[in-house]
Amino acid sequence: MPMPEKKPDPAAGTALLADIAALQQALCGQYSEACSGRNGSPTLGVFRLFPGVDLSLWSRLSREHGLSHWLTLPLDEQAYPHLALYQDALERLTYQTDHDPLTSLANRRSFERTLDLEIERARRSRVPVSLALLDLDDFKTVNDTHGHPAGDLVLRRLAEVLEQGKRRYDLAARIGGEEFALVLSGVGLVKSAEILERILESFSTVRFEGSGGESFSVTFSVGIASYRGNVELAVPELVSLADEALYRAKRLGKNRVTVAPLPDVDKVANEATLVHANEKKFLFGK
Amino acid sequence: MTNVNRTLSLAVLSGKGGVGKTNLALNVGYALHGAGHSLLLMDCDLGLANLDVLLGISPERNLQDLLRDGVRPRDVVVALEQNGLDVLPAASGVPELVEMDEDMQGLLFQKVADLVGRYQFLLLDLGAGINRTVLSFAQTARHRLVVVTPEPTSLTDSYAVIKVLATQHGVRDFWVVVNQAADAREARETFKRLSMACKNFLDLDLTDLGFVRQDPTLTEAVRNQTPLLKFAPKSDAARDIISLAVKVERFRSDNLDALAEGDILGRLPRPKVD
Repeated sequence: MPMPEKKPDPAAGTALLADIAALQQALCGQYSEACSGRNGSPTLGVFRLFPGVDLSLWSRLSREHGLSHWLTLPLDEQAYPHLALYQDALERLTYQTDHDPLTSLANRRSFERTLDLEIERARRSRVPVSLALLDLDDFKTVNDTHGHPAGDLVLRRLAEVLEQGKRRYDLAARIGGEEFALVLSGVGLVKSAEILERILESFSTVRFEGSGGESFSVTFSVGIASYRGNVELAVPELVSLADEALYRAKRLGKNRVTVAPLPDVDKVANEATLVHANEKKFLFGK
Repeated sequence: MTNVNRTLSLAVLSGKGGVGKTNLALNVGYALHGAGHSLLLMDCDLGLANLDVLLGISPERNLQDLLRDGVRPRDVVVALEQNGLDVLPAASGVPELVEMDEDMQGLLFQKVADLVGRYQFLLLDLGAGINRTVLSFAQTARHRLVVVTPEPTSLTDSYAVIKVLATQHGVRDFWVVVNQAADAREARETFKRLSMACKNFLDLDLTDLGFVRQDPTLTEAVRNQTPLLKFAPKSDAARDIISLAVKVERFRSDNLDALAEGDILGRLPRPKVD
């Protein structure tokens, strides 16, 4: 096989793309079900040699045309650079599975996984865990008044403020359009509220610029729920407690932190060891 | 053999503070020593200790130093009298030590294990309250002496600590001493209330170890930072304490074989993991 030219031929790229498109059309257009099937169905590796196409050209093409799921292997060079390309793609995909693309915070999926683990930890070791749900106040108005780019900037800035304001081992996540969450391990309502008050304060000083050059600031509301491991409790229950607190924060006028009642406070006192009124009467001879 | 000297470990506890627990432990210790026994008084009121204060001593080191690497119990023990009346003082003003976790308790018990075997009696002066440290020391000792006064608050608190130990930790045997009693009748009434409540609600039989009369001489002894048994050995309270000590002494001599079998301080309560 002749060595590829030093400078890749742009025509080779075009031919390659056309071929791939035709192949994809032929195989997956017509037999799309077969293409998406996995187990049990016969699997065919389709090869086509592209002399003159090297790694740099392929990298560019796969980036520009969304072809990173295609496997390529050089027949006359080292396989390592190509494999590294897939490794990068895999890492990127793995990252995307757990992160929100706009803010780079954890996404809802990884938030739920972490919260589930922390609830388990709290239940086993009786160390509290708190969940703060944050919701930007009047975010629709922000988008409508100042434009969506400004709205996106607000989301990104809040993510940064959360990252800076939380402790290193807390998890900050974007779990909805304008909804964020903080999972705070090892602290109860009082300490969590302090942390969130600080973050609230810090975000209130951030000034944004709208589409017309106007300056504005945005606030958010927080609901916090805390779990101490004394009762059985699952993710949805803690989320719904925090959600109710958040709803109350909104109703009370937004831009504030509200805490939910402790779900397991009545279990703190151990009925088995509590000295009851009838025992006291007995002791006092009454 | 696990207990060569047949050491009897006895935890002195009360639930409520200010009922004369430390004084009682100290003077029972003096009485036992006076009868020719070797004895170690261990101040287990970690964080708010005052055994040393009652004795007017200012020890250089204390029980908390034992947690440090390389510090041996014999570096910490203070001799009160010749022939084996020693005290292991604790520190005051260390809130972290009030609630020791199981690792720290384990380390401490490991360090004192060899030391305590040299004595015939080990008296553990526990702090007030029902915190984790109190409960651990109370159940690790071979026996428990609950100090109660005729006051309803003291009755309630001692009942509470007995209830927690009985229902949560399976401890069934308690000796009771009624302290600061006006007379024998009041002491009997106090013991009866406590023991009937324990019988009725916990199905528990308390052992009446006697009472110590209210005695103004004790206040003088405390102000003099001298143990009552040294200060006024003929006083009412001193005589009551001596008869108490006789019962403790008799229990040990009646149970020498049983004491030889077990550990001086039982296994540490295992932390509950579910």
